[in-house]
Amino acid sequence: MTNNATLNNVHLSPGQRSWLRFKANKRGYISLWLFAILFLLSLFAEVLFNDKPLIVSYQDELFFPFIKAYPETAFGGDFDTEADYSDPYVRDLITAGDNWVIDPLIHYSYNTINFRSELPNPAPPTGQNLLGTDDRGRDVFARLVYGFRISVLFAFALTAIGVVIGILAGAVQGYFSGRLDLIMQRLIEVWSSMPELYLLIIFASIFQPSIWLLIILLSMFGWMGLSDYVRAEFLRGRNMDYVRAARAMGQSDVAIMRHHLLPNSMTPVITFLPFRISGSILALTSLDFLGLGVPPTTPSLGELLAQGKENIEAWWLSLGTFIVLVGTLMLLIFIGEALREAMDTRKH
Amino acid sequence: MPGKLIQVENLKVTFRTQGGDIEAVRGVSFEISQSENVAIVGESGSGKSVTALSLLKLHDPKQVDYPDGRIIYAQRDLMLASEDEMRAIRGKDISMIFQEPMTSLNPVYPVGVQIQETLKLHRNMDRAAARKIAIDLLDRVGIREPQHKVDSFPHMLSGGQRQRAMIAMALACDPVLLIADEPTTALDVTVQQQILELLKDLQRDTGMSVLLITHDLNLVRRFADRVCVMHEGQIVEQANSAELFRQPRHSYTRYLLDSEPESRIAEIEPGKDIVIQAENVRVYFPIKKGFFKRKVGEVRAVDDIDVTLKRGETLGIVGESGSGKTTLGMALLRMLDSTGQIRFREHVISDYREQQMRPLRRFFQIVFQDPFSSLSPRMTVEQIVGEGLKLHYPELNKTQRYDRIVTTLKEVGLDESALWRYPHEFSGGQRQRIAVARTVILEPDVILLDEPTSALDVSVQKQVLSLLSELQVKHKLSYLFISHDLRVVRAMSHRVIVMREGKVVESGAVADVFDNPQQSYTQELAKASIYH
Repeated sequence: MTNNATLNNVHLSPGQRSWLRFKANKRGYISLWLFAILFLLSLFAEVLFNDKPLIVSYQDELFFPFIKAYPETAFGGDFDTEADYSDPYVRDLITAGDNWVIDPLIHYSYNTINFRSELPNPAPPTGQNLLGTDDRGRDVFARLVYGFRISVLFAFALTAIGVVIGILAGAVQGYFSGRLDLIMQRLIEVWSSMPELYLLIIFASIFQPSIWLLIILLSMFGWMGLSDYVRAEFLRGRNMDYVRAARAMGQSDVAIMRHHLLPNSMTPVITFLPFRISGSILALTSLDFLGLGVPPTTPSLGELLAQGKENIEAWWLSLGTFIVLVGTLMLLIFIGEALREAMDTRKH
Repeated sequence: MPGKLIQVENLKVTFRTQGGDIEAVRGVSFEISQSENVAIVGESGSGKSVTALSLLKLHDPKQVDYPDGRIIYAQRDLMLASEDEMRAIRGKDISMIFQEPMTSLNPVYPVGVQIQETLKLHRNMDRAAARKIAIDLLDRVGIREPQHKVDSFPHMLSGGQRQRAMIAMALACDPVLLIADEPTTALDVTVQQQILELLKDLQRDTGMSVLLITHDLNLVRRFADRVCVMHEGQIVEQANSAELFRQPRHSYTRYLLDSEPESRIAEIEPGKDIVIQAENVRVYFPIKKGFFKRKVGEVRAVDDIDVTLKRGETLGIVGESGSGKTTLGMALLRMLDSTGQIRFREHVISDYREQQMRPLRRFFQIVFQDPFSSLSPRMTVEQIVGEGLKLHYPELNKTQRYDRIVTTLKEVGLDESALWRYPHEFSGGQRQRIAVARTVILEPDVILLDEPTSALDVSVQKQVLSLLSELQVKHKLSYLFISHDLRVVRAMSHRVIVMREGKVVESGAVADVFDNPQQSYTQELAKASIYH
């Protein structure tokens, strides 16, 4: 093992070399950091953007309202319903005397309605609502952050599912080719000629729309474009001498596909990855914009854009959403670009 | 003494790359007289093709600089000529043929149309006249039935015919100089000879000059009047052909001449035990037609062949492209389905299913012709060489496996530093060594060498061949040596099979077959290889 260790000091492993190549692309590297920080922060949105305090110390007892619902009576209030912490009466109760409160950074969650705003909704940016409110009085900043999170998570899930199915389908067709390939190709042709948008509209009217339904429906169609490219790569690769050499070595079909063909077929997958992710974000946004996407209370960028269109004079609605959307897509494309360069072993 | 046609003085060519400028040609001077055959000989990377392309300024001006040098043709310096002036010269005064006739001809046009194109461009001919000349030209370059062939697409012609069509295209405007860049490298030996003879005949008839670019010094022995030997961007020796071969002055020229593979079989004594015995091996590929893929005929790629291979022996399989030699090799290793019986030691492997074959696979390995496509570009050398070990020797731990990889790499002449590198970081010869390392690490009994040296430079070829011989002695390997190059087969094999159209034409001990060939086809092959 010592032999190995000394060697590692001199020579870099393939993974380390890829990372160096990634870092060499400054724009992509910075984009990755920015995106990672933003995404990480948005994952903790409940701690940063919430209408409930994080910790309440009431009569020397600790409460964690952002995780658990407490009735107003727990703090000496009148109702058995959950405490409304933005109510001045409740606020007085939990801050009186020795009691103390740790609040989140922004006092609004994505569906908190600011009843105490003096301006009509949608309200322009004020000290209370930094980016204004939407047409139902909800804080735009909070909705943007939650909307960003849900968009990115949705895109990751959709892309991951699409890539896995796409690679599997493409690999099987390309490697075994012949009759199997022929049949699958025809099936794909039939399947891809289904009108996706109408299907979504029909399903949206039959089922309660939800993010999971969207993922399933979009996944059913999203893999086909990629599988064609992977199939082509496998078709080309299976006749290469290195594949024949692996067969001569006695490798099984699965091992040949995984270790020899797959790494050499990743170019289209990697190339399309950033576009698939941004495409997924756009798909969700446009479906929400049309009202076919996630249920109404869910924070979504598309819904905000739709509101911006309804209230064209409320510039803060469209501008904020626009910046978030463009920023996200741009960061993803830059990262994807650097990733593609990193995967190219022929580059130094 | 005829006048000078073209003079190249102190030509320098540099390539602009991201890593800085690369000097490909470093001050080359030579001249070509009228009706003279000049050959530029050198190994890959010596700058010979770059020099030839510079004569016509066919390089991409974005990538190439000419820091110095003059090319004097018809009293003017082509270096200073504009792109328009160059265009008038290209194809008319100076024309060019390339190595790979399949890719140099446009696949979507009939060859006749492509010949006519040059005529229309430089001579303003109308279609009917151009077509007539195209047929004449095809006739002149020795294509039979030129009236029909003029309408053939490139893929309908054989390799030799395509190269002839290329030559016809180049001759269309009666050039004064024909540049032939490796015109025969992609062709079979017998065809190579025909093409060279054709060039020589045409040259005699038309009085044009020929500049032949090649890596094969022996090829130009009969052809060229004068030979320039290039090495690392410079001409190291320039002399009359006869003189150069009689008395090479520069050490590099001697090195090239010395690269003839030398026979080593005398040192290797084949054992008695039979490793592979095959009887009546047949591989037929069905020809299917129509929507329901009805079988309408078959291609008999391998037709009824018996093969015996002893331990430590090399069996050469010789034939032109399409003769079925690779198919036979693949069938013997059960990489292809075949009929007939194949025995490996006590196993009748022709009856084995793929699952049963897998554990035996380690005993038969393959080294392919093209070391660029036979190594996966996304795997490091350690992964490539170690892959088979993981599969067939799962009992080895990481350190043991690592040690064995390093030992094997040393055996093929590479060191430890190769481990983490990718195939593209190596030269062709080194890659072929890696491919050999991948096979011998499994301690096989039989290695199928499918043209293992055809893609390599002559000097590297010799090194790889001697490596193969060393390994054969050391590990008592049996080789199935497939090649179209008779010299190499002769140097390496104990016995030889000559194949043509799927059948064995002649077989026996190597000396008997080559020195005293019985069949006319073998005689022809042997003759071509001597000319070579």
